[in-house]
Amino acid sequence: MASSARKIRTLLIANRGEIACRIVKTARSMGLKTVAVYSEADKDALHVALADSAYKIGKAETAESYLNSAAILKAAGRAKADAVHPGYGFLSENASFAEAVKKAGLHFIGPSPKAIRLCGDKLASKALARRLSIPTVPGIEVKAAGCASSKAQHRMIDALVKRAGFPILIKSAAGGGGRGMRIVRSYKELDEALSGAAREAQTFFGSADLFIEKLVEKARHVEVQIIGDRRRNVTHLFDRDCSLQRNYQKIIEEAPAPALQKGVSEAMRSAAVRLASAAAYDSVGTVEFLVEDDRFYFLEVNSRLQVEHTVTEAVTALDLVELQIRIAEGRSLPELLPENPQCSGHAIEVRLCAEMPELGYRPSTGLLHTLEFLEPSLLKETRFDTGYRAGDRLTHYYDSLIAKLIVSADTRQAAISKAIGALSNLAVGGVRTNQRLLLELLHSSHFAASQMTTGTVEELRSGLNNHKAAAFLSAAKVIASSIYVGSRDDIWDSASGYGISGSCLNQRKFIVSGETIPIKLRFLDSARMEIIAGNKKYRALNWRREGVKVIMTFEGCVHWAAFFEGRCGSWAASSFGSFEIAEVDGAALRQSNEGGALSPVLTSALPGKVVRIRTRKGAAVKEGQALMVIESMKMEHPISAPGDAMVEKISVAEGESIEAGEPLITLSFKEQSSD
Amino acid sequence: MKIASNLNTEDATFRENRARFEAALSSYRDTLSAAVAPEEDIAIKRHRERGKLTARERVQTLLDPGSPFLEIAPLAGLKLYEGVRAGAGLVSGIGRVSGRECVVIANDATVKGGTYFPMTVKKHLRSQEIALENNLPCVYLVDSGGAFLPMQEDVFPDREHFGRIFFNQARMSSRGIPQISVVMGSCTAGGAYVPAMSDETVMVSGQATIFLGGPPLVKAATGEEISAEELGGADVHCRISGVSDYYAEDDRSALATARRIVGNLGHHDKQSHNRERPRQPLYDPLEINGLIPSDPKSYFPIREILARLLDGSELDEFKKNYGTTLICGFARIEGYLAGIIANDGILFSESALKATHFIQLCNQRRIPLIFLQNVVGFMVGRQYEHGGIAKDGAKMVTAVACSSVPKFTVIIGSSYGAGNYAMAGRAYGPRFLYTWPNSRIAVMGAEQAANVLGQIKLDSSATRKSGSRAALEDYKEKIRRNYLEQSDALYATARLWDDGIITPADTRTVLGLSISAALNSPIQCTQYGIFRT
Repeated sequence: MASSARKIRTLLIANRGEIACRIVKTARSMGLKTVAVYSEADKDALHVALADSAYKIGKAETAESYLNSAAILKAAGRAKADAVHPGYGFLSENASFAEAVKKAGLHFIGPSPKAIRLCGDKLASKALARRLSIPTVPGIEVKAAGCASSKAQHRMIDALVKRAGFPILIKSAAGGGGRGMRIVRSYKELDEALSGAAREAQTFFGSADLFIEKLVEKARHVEVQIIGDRRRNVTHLFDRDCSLQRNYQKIIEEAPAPALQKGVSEAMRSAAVRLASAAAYDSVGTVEFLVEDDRFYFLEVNSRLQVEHTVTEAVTALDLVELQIRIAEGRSLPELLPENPQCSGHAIEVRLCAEMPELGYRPSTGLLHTLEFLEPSLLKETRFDTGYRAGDRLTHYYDSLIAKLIVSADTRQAAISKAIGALSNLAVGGVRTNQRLLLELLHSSHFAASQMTTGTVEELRSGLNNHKAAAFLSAAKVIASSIYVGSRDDIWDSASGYGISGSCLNQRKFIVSGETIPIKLRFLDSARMEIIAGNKKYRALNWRREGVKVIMTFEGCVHWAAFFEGRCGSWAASSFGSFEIAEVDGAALRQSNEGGALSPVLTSALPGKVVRIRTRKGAAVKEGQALMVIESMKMEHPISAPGDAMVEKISVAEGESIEAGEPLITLSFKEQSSD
Repeated sequence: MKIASNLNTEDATFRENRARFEAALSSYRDTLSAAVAPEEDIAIKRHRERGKLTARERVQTLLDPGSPFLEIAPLAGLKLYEGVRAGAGLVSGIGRVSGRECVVIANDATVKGGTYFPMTVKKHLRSQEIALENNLPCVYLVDSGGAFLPMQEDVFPDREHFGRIFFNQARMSSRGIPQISVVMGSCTAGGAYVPAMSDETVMVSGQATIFLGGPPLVKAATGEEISAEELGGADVHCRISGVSDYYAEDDRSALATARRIVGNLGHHDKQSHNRERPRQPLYDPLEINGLIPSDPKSYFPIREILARLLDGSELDEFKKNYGTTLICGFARIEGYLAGIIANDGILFSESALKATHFIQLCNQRRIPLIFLQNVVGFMVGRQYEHGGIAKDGAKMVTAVACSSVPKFTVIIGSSYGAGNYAMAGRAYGPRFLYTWPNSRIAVMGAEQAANVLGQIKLDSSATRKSGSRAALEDYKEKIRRNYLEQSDALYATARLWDDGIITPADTRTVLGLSISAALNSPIQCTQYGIFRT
């Protein structure tokens, strides 16, 4: 323990993106020197620019860079670092890495390898919870060692299904954060899900061991922030609600968890502390629970800093990264924390991600040409944690998180309004994001009434369409682009809509985030218009310009939009979120008219890597059959046959990196020859 | 000075007049909508199936969103040609494109292939004249088969016929009035010169063709077999021949290109003008509908009408107590200062002298003139002829003819005889001339004409011999009917004696837009001819 007593002077951050930047900030305020590591793809990244020094650790692929512990330790040696902060994800919950760091004589900013190992082992942690009489969700472990589809395995799953019923959830026994998770609703889907989950588990967590449990669908996800020191002091720093999740990744989190039934909060906090004490937990960590009415189930312990730690910081006025570092230096909780940590006010975090919810959260990559608050004053009121600047490129190698916006206020309601204001005023251009979905969630009555569950996002998303937003944006764009509309001094404006043969009907066609919207604008007079989009009619009143914004009363509510041009097209920030918007020119129109015939050449819409080819040349394939799996931005995307066909040619090999649009498979749709 | 209204809208005559006028108005609107919003016939359906917008949709898509469209003669050709709906196969007018007021002339290919009938030619030339006089860029949306060959004698050879279109283009271009063509359909033979004579031309791929002789003519002449697209399609003219400057994929993108072309025309200064913030009249313009007497012989309450047309109902009347049958005064319409000249009875020497003085004032001060015509003519009889009413009338006609300030005429009632000349009738070059649906235009009133012609017939020996009173009455009735039919506002507008029929309630807006359009050309100094004193 000699090294533990040493004060840390130089901190290496074994991570990237917003969390690396955020750690640099605290480390710097503590007077530490900061060392960044980066992959080839990140050489111009913000975290590299912010740190005092930076070391390249390998290629863009995470396995060769941010998961490459040898390279990271080498960099730590060269930088003469005396501590390593792993951030979240990557090596943060890798006990071997923590051991290696310690072996190299450095501080590992996190719990002891033993605690990591215990928490990381879902079965062991569950067993521990059960021993402590903390309720858990029924589940079983499937070891990779046996054959993936052995009879024994199926018998075990059968037993679980008999006990708890479908749906069940398959996930990596080692990992977290939604990677490799599969929901199975019937026996039919079971085999495919098992093999896919095992493969992803192997890729991301180095072990194909799986964990299968009953899926509690309509529950809330509540977690308790715990903190322990090296002297076996453990306490909690209140709770967070993270129910708003998509594909098991949280997108909106808040602290404290609102509107829990009487006693639940206290019971959970005490359970979390008991569990952490029993595990000799000695850093900051999180105990996750599912809450259904007045019952709660222990899920798992995350032995790292959570993405959403910021909301806890906002309500406790504590810096969790600083606490992590101090604890690693050997300081004790009584020294570091106030006697009775207080939770005051309410904080909300939203995660802005480069992904397209309407396309099953397909990631969106490319040049992020715009990332700024339209009202600069919002930057003062909003904590904006990001690893990107305008002009940076989002690649498929890393996850899709662009930024976290964190706001706090005295009441939950005030915090929601603040979050809406901040998020809608964030102009994002170049890549498509989940901004609109986040805004809809913040506006939703479920959220306002604290009635969200882990199913809320999907319910809302499936009913979400951009029709109304697109109609509004198209009209606003027409107004923004017509130079003189809005100055009532000119008779050509004040007589707007006049025509001997009736009102003026302007017909335009726009593409709003990939969707083509033909609109007709009927100007009734200089202050009223009808917007006819498809067979829907909307009314708009009193349009005007204020600074960069076009503002109008649209369907009874005041909405606004601001337009900006980038190298990658035209974008709008608006009260509906940021959208790509372009007026259809002839060329685009042509293309959209060509949707009739099936294309025989299959391509990927995303750049990425071929992880698996499931067909061969000459094979007959059925419509919808998955022929190939592409991994992009750490997610798997199947390439399926658009119709029954024969495989004529496969142009790529497993493991090969591909560009978006690159031909992958050539099919022949011709009927089987008659001979 | 505010004009005080004494109107009682509960009055029986008012209500009766209004009911009758509004019935007439609604029949006029039916006629108009049959022309501008026709039922989707087979020609329109086929046109749409080719992915083309209609002429009217093209115009509205070209214009700035919400831009007013000051349409010219939408009923031209009404009932004149079999199978040709009113409008004569052309949609034209003034609208704003990229912030600039432009004359837009669009062929309607769904009317006999967009070919030119006599009234089509007249409307096209009138639209060009408006562009020329008011210094407005021209955008031609071309989709026409050229002259309507069966009527070639009425569209081809004369001075004001088809060839004049290209003459005008050349002359306007020489004066710096931009000529822009968007070819969206066929453009054959003479028609090929519209794009070829333009400053800048856009062609729509797969739709537009330009050639002097089409494929059948080529085959007949040289035996060469070639498709229309290969002979003169957008690709040929944008890539090989250079006849066209911009290539567009479809109507919409061609119109977007045209908008950008107009946006690139460069700086343009309008004539500065004394304009204030527009104010509504104190009384409702819709009440004019009940002020127009059903019987043309009844009193026409012009002051009540002015109270419903002028900003704030204010008129600063000039020489109020002199020559009282003609009202002259300064007023504002839609904020624009204008000299108003409005009839309030028959013209006398004093009225003509007053008007001459007032017109000189307006020209000196470069204030536009608005004539509100309701005139049966000059006073006749010994006393007036001896008093020299002819030379006094001539002074007014001279002043009107020589005025270089923009003149705007609205025929709100009768327009008969020399009164039409003195009050800036069509021949006197007002920048715009509109009529109300109740208006009548002729050399004299129907009754008067019947009497005059009856008297002449009676005086001729032949009739005296036959001596039949009934035959004379028949003859007079025929004259009366003819005059009535031919002096009708629809009859007039069908022949382009005006720029269109407008409703009393729209008059302020139309005049405001017209004045604004006229201010695109600088106002010159006025030089008068000899005033016979």
